Amino acid sequence: MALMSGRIRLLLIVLVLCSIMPVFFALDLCFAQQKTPFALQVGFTQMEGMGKLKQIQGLFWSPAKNRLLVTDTGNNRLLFFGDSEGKFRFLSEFKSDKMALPISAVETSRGTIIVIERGAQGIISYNPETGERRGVLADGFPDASFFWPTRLALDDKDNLYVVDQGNQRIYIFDGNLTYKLHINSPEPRFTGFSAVAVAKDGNIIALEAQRGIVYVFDKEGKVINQFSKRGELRGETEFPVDIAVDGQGRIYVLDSHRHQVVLLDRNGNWQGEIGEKGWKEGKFIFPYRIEVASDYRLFIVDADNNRLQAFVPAGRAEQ
Amino acid sequence: MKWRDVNNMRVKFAILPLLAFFVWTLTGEALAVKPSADTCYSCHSQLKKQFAQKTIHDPVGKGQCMACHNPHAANQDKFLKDEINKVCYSCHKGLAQELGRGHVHSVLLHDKCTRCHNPHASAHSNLLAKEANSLCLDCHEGVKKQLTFSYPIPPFREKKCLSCHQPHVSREEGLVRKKINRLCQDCHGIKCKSKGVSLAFALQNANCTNCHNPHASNKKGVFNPIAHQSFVDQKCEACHDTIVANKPLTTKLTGRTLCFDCHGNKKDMLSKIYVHAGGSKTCTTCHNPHASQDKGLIWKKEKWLCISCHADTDRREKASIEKQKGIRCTAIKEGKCSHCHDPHAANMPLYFKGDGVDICVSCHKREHSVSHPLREKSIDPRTNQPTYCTTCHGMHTAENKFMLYFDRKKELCIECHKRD
Repeated sequence: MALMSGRIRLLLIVLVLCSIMPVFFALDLCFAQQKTPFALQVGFTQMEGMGKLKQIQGLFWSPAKNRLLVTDTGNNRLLFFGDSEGKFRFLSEFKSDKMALPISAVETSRGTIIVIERGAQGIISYNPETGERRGVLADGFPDASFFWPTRLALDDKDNLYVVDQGNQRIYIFDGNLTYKLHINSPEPRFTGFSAVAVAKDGNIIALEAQRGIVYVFDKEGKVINQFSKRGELRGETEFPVDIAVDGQGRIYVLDSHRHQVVLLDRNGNWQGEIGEKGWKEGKFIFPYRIEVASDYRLFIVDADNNRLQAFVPAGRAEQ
Repeated sequence: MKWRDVNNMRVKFAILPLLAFFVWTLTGEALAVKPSADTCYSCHSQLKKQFAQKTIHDPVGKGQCMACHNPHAANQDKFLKDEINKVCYSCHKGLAQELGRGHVHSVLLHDKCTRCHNPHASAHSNLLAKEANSLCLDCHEGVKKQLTFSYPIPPFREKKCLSCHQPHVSREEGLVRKKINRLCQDCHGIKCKSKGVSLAFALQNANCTNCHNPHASNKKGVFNPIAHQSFVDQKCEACHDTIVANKPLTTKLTGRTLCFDCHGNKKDMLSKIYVHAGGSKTCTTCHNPHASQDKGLIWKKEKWLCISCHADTDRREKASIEKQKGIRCTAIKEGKCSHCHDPHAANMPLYFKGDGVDICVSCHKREHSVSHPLREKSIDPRTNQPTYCTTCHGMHTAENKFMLYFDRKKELCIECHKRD
């Protein structure tokens, strides 16, 4: 009897497996497509004429100049990269004797470079043509006793967004670097902003890394949406460190400990994952910074492998 | 089509025996005649004597050996029907449901119920293997040592662990029965004073263990052993404005500026590339400004303090240790995160105190003398980066022996040393 019941159970298991196998295949195919929406364009730790990268802390795509600004913190310099003769290349270097541990930088449409320097514990503006260096944002905004700028972002009107982790705020300055407004803690349990990005429609996307929450603010700094959290489920992140937003409003959350990017639509719905843990090109070990270009190219600082990698949407790679 | 619509009697007669056959095959085992406990005792006669104790497990008393054991064959030791904890939870369903609702005794998560309970019979209540309180102190040796301290609190002196703690699950940290302030105030009021002013108004909802040891201390007032000097000297005014009854407590300076006022040498950390918690304005996220049980006046043991934010690292580490069947790295085993990572600030990624060689060599001097060439002497062809110990060894996540990312017998070397 035991043998008979065993056979029947086996038969039932086979029947169940047969009925669910097509579902598994369909899901697998679906995930496979969502896993690789981007293809590696280039990955490098050095290029001709620039020496080796050392601890990149910031990335900024300048839509006005159509080039990537890289904060090469360990070498106390800023680097520009762009497309030349159909290839992604090193373009130029910007250095100043007084530059001390730059950790985040942006370039305005007029060519001014604004940098957070950890050594100077403040924000510095550089005019690359005249070499003029001046401290900015010394006053004009309220209660800045713990001002601790960590990240910068810029919108297409040259409005500057500054993450101040000391006061758990985001300050917004106009193109003349005049204080406009600031965004405060959105809720009581808030632990501070870690990264900021600005969408094409002017919405401000900010990351609260400690709880993994992505906030969407309107231009006036009012919360209009919030989603995601730290966790292991789809759409959640285990150790988010940076965010970026593309021209369609899709949000890229960089999950350093899971060594991948979580892609969300503008409403926070999970769209897919990009990348995986590894040492070979196209993979990451503790990725640290992310930026999206206006042509949807993705730049990722692969921190533990000390390299910068550029990815293009898979469709474009095939063309 | 419904059953009543099946008019053809022949079809009904064909289906009914088939249904009966299915029911017979699926329930046959359950309906099979089970032998009584006497059948078991006919061989295991000594067990019957052992089970004649003060407290007897219900199925044992009723002679239902097969409630837990399979008489013929099993995949588990002792012919158990399933893993021991699952066997227990199959009846003790309430406890199983509670496990997901709060802080759980680590024995339940990582060990067996039988670590504390005898599954058959015991001379102690609740089938405990020993008298309840000595059972606790058998494992909690650190707490046991505190019995020798000069100022034990009365329930601890009398070893009444369960008067404050839950044995299995609690909503409160430390498995205490209720919020710590209420638990303490159940027995005594708030005695804390500053220059004669009772602080009861400010401490009603405070966690008493922030300053006091919940078991015993060598300091009068059962204070934690590591204390801020101003606190020891009762110089509250060193940091606080004059304390007035029923007025909110305020500090002379705010946030980290108050700490830097004395600890000025710590300001340097703000000039490093990586500053923990992004240069948060307060030091009290990690540090207790009054008295702590741990060096550096941190709120809780180093490992637990770090895990409170870095829970995902802890989870990966546990999975890694399980796969490797144990590890030898003492920094990880003992939860000494600060052995490798600077808790405040660093110029190295991941807050490393040195590069991926320096930190390891601080313990592994011998291994370093015979190791694979490192740093610039050996460039990793996968990344064009110098090789460090951490190139092959992953401290928190690697799943192969010796904390290697890849199996050293199959994949490790050929990751880089490929035949052209």
